[in-house]
Amino acid sequence: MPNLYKLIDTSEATELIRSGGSFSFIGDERALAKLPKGNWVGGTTCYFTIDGKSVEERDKVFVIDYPAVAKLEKISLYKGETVSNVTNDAPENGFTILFMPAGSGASLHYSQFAPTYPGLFLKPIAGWITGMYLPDWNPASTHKDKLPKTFNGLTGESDTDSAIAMHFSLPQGKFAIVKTINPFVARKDSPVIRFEGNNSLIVRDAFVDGKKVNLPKYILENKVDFRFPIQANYSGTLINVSLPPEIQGEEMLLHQAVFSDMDYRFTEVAPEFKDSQKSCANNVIDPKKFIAGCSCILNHLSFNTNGGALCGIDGPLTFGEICYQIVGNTSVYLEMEE
Amino acid sequence: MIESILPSKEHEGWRKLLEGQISHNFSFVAAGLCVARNIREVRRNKSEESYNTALSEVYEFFRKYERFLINDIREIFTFEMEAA
Repeated sequence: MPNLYKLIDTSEATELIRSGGSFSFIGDERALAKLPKGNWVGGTTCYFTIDGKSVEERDKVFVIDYPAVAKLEKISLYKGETVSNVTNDAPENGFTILFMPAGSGASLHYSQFAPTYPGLFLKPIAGWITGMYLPDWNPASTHKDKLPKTFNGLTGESDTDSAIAMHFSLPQGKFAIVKTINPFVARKDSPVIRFEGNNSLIVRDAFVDGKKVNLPKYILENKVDFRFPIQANYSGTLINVSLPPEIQGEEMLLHQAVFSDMDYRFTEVAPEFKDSQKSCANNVIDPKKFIAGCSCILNHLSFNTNGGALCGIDGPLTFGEICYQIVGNTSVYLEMEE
Repeated sequence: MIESILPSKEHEGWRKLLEGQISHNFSFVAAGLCVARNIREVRRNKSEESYNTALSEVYEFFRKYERFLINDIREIFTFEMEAA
């Protein structure tokens, strides 16, 4: 377990920063803006899973104080396509925690192109897409005070467009492993969906069981429940792509990119996660190995969860999760193994 | 230190894996992503150069994480090892 992994007051966070450690803080931007300069990075969200239940919190911040054995090598900022340097900047043995604001140039590039970055899977990268207080959500807003942000504790600056990474090294014999909890499985009766455009975030037409259709129209006509993501199987690793909360017209903006050479399927909740009382995602975690994690806010919002696997593991509720590449409707966490 | 059981790059099991003739589901998240990415690359570009680039990345991955992939390695390469 990290030394600290919980919601704390900003006064306590201030003391921690002044004590000289390296931290991640996650919270409302007003709370993060109160923190002094120091060795930390921050990302915005007001939503958390605490003791297996979803909570909204705007005054406290969630702290991750990384295990003492992990040495912070550097903090890197990335704008737009420079985020492709994230693997080059990561130490040979260690892990990278990456935060990217929703809708930022960095997150869009990462979503579309990370799976092609050379050596991406040789160095563990976990993190999430930062969000905001949902009643303020307006993707078209030009007011930067109400957009998802990252914070660079070294300078005290926040930004709506920069990704920020903490690169940690680990001593020989210790390994960081990125894991996921995916509460969804492909429906047995799902058609196979293939997309035309590669790396697409905006989807119009697709091949459904080989027949070209307008996908938004198909989803509506066939009454597909679009609270459930579509899913592709990457040699055993199931990757979700979240569908938008509303579908209108003949185009839809996906939360993560889809790729033309993958087969996607509609999903349902996996049998082992159907009983929300028994399937708390926290039960999957080994506290001795756990470093940090996050879970998708969409599962909480779409399924009104207040417990169980769909609520996710303890930690921030996020607007996209990073398990090397960006995924959706998933819990992602990092463990340390020997 | 565990003794390596990883077959050499010349073992034909690698080609079968990367050309999609062996279908294997990994439980190790990064392994699935890494292998699937390289299978797609080999499918997209059928040149020997493309295969060798894919093999280098997958082999390096398996070497780094071998201790977590022992069962996968046994499953993917056992038949090939017995046949050899």
